[in-house]
Amino acid sequence: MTQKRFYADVLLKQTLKKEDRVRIPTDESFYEAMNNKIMMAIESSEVAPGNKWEKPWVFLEPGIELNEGAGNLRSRLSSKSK
Amino acid sequence: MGREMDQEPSVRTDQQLIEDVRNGDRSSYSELVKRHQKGLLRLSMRFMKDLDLSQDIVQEAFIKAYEKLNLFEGRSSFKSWLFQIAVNVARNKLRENRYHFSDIDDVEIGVNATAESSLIDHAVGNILQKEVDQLPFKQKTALVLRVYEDLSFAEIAEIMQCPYDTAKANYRHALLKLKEVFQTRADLHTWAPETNGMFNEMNAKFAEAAE
Repeated sequence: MTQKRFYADVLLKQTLKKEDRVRIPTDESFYEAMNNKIMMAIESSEVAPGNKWEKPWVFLEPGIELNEGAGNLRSRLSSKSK
Repeated sequence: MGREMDQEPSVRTDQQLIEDVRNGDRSSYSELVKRHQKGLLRLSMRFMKDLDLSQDIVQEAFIKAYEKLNLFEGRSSFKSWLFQIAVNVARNKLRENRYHFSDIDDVEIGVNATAESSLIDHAVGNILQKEVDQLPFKQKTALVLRVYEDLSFAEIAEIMQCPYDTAKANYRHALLKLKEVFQTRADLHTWAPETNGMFNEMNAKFAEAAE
């Protein structure tokens, strides 16, 4: 039953991806312009000094699903240790 | 040796670039923007449905990330951290403006035989999109990050700033709601042959799984 449910989930994900309507520009000049706009805004900003009371909550559990996802942790951890 | 030296500039990690920025090299931030702006724009489009608004989200997210760069500890990837900021910015914008998106009732579905197949595909896509858009924000975020961005639940939890189990539960609830659509929408059943039996197959699997 778990396997069937898993298969149904995979089918649903495939359908969602197939019917994905989100399109972003492919023109590189669009991204160059966006980059320039962001960097111009950055010119008037500063990296704020770190504040130990302002640390974000960390929910990431390194022991879980190390190999899963596009930005998987295992590759990052192994590259760090080299 | 020469090859390694040639490759060195292209293999700088996000973390190395971040260190450069922290040490005062603003130009390294441009490289970070180049690397992540497309992904961030695509993510923003899923929430905002408008290119101009999505560009605003991306710009605001990158500026916030720059200003808060000292808070990035490298426990998650920089991409996950950026996504976290962008999701928060998008949620705030949606709350502020309460944008209304195109409704499926506004979409005309013709019956011209020659265009029928593409219209059916278009309508199915619209129904799915509408159902995804109607999900509560947290469920939609979990679904978008899992389905379209292929992220792990650990990364989704980090982006959504919630425990691992909560991220997983949000995703499961989103899937369950979409399953209900396939199980209850009679019109989707009649379209099934034109969509390669995808819906029939899925409904059969859901029925088997529920037994």
